[in-house]
Amino acid sequence: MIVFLVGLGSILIIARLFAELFKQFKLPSVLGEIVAGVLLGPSFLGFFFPECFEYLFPFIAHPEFTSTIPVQYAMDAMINISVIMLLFIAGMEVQLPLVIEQGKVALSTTFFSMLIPIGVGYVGVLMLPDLFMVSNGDVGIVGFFIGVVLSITALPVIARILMDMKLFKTRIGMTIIASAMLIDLLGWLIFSVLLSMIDDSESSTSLSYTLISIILFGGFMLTIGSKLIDKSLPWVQTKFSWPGGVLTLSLGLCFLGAAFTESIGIHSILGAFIVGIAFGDSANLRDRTREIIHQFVTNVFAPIFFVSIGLYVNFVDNFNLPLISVLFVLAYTSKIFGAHLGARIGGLSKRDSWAVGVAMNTHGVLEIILGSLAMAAGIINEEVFVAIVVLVVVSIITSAPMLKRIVRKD
Amino acid sequence: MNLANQLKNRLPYPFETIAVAVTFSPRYKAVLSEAARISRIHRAKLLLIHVGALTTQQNRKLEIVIEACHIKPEHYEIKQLQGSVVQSILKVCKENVVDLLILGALKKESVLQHYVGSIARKISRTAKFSILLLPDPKERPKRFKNVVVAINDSPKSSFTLSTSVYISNIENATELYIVNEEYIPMFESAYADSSTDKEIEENKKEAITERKEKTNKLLDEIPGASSIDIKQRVIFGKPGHSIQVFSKCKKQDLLLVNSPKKTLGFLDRLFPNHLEYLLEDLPCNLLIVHSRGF
Repeated sequence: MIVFLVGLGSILIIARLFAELFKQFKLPSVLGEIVAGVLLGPSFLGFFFPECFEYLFPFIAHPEFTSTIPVQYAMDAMINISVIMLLFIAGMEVQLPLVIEQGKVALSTTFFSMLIPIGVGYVGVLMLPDLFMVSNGDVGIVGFFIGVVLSITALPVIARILMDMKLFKTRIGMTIIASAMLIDLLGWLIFSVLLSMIDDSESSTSLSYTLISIILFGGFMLTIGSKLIDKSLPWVQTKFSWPGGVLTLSLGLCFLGAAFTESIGIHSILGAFIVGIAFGDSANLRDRTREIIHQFVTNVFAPIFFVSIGLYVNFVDNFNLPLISVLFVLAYTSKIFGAHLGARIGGLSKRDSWAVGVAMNTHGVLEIILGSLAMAAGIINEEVFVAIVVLVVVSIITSAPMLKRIVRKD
Repeated sequence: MNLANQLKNRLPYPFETIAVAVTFSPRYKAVLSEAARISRIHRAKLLLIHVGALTTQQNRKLEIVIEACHIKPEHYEIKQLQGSVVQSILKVCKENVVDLLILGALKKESVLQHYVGSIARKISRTAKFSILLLPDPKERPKRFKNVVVAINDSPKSSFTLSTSVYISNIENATELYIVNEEYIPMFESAYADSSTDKEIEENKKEAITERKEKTNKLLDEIPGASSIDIKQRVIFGKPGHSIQVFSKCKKQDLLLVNSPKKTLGFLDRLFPNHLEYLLEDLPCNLLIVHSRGF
């Protein structure tokens, strides 16, 4: 128990210090947390100060340790809960009315900025299976997965960039936000189906069962479920202690949704994500409540997950430059071009469409979660995962200057 | 020149032609009284629209009510039509270039009715002219003393704001509340992990100042704005919902809002936004201002 608590305490404090340090350079906290994990993990601490690493994280340095004390299980549970909560708040960001309001331009941007990266990712893996280290049988699934990773846009990161650049409420800003929201929803639906296919690679009956289950659950939660939540929130927010009451209700629903999807053979993350959409869509949810839920998850649970990435994966050993370079080329070309094309067809000007393209090529937290789940499911190996993390870090750093360059041109 | 071009760039006011739907429902006398008062103060021609054949008895009833409302014969016209109620009303209003249509409406609808859509709501979702919905019409109508207008980033807001000033002056309103609806989706998540409370507050304050400055600029250009007691407020929340809560709490007499960007459909009721929140539960009399040319 002491070992687990020392490890957890160290993770939280060091993650916070690095998050604050990165904040000074106007970079998202998540980057600081990932770097903290890399420094605390086998890539740095384990390599240069192995004794210190073994003392702080014996359950990682010596996995056999878990046979006597189930610390590893506790850590895994914490990480899983963190991922579920992160998906819940990611769902809370999706505002379907906003997507509907943006209409044609959002739909067209979403369509092309998903279709082209998925196509390019698929063909990329198909042409270079050795680089992505996949066997012939898995090429399709890995290709599809890489495509989904390339197609997702980091919603909070791009929202912050747009707000700082005073572009958020412009047509470009609203197109980017609405499309990124829809992509999030579709991306997680596709990924959940993909995971279900791997878990249960039987016949087409299981796939149709998965699809019907997802449609029924999603349909119910986004219509009746969201209305019920919306109607009950004013009562909860006034009758229960605040913010405790609503915090308990939100997280309770999140875990129940996650448990439900898990029980019907779909990954728990989708349940949390969809409950998050239903919850976040409520007009009766106070801004302050929303803020508290975000603060609670992003400052307590998110660091555990992001630091754990560096703790479990050796970034030095798994750093594959050719793979990273190829992933970069695939990501930057397909996403920028796809989103640009979609925005152009949707009716935006040439310059605005390029701005949308560049902004949509901001990858973030969700891709890392996607990568870690794919790694756990055996879809990708550690080298591909490291390449995804590097892609995320670089895209976060480059998207704001690139966007500024395009917007400034006029 | 076609009608659309004639109307382009025309302000939503003055209300020269006002229409009212005559339904012979229990509240039709009250609705007619309200319409008579409004048409009188706006010196407008009043069109009384009835869908279906008027029986002699109904005709007589209507004449009595018209007389009781002191509507002079030269100031009104009765339009009788056959067919779908919604389509007929929309057609008459279009043909007669109606500036304002007055409709009695239930304050709240049942869940089923909300999704299926009542006549007043259906018209509100599709009309290309301004609409006044009266959830609680009175047979002895009173002027709109407390007027509130909801504005936002939409280019329609300047027209809605000037209409609110125009109406407040005509109604001799005690006060006009200008409420800026500020909605920044993702604000919490964008700032949650990397901002202090002070920074978040400063961002919000900046948004408030920016909004108020914009409103003041607009007000400077609106004639008659200086003669009204104007109060301003910026509220954060979902557009439509936040103003609905505000108007209810402040017990306003009349709320003015922008007309929707596009014709609202079933999806807009399923995932409500802006006007749908108000139509779901009318907080007070609601004037949906249609800006011509948009």
